[in-house]
Amino acid sequence: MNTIDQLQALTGGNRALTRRLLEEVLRSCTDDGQQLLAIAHDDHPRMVDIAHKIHGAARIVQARAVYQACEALEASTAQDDLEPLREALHLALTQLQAELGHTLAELDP
Amino acid sequence: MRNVFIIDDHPVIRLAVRMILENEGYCVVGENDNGVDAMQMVRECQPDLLILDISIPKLDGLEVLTRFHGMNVPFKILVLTAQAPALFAIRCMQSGAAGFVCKQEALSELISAVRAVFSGYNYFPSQALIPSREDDGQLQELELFKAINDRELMVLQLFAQGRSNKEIATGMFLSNKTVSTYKKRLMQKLQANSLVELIEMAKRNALV
Repeated sequence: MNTIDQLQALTGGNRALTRRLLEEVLRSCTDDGQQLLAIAHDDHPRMVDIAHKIHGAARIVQARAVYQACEALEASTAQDDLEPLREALHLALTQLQAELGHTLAELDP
Repeated sequence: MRNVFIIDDHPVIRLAVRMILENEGYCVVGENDNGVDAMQMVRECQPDLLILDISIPKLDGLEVLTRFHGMNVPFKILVLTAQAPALFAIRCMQSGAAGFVCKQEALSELISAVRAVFSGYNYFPSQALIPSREDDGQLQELELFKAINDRELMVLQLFAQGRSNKEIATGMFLSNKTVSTYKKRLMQKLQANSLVELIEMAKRNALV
């Protein structure tokens, strides 16, 4: 199931609700992405915390690429190079945002 | 008996949970993103059910759970979390939760749990019911540890302390490759799927 189908399942197909949820997901992509980038590159605990927070939301909306990137970051150790993992998560968030942005634009006036 | 309060640090989860609950005819009387403020708000909103994430900021969800349980509050608490059920479900049950649902499951699972709890039942994944066999599990794990030689055990201990492959190699005068071999052998012998599992196992068995 892709994200928009999942959102529709959550809202019981109600258009106005789907729109509202979609907007919330888009807003969160921006907020989460900014918070993610604001963390110091060697702050492993905070990196894992935010990955965990985003993970839960990504599961609920079935954003697979996002939650897989979260899983990778959550499974990292303090010794790992966190930068590629952070970049992968940020990219997944940006892609989800782009994808859902199109969906929102097509949703109706 | 249908008023619900939601505590979760992610706005998407709060909104999604609110929507499916309202769709089922429940009334969401409030929501919050952190434990400290929620403790206050929950008292004012007087819900019948609290849906609680256990990794929320400020006051840890487990702490919120324990405090409410200790206060003998009139509402039920249902844990909705992305934390591993094997490690946390039992803990939540012991701390007074009426149910435990993983965010990895479909949210329809949450509705089943809410219905069960409102009908007076508890709702936990079956892993949580293993505690009666906990000693067995512990014994089985100890059996697995018997297959581990001293050197492997030492490597495992270093991993559990958070050392990297390279640090272990240097400290034990081994090559990086040998350390990787040790890791693979440990995973095989202890039937673990990842280094994280290995480390958890080490901690569970008081290796660190």
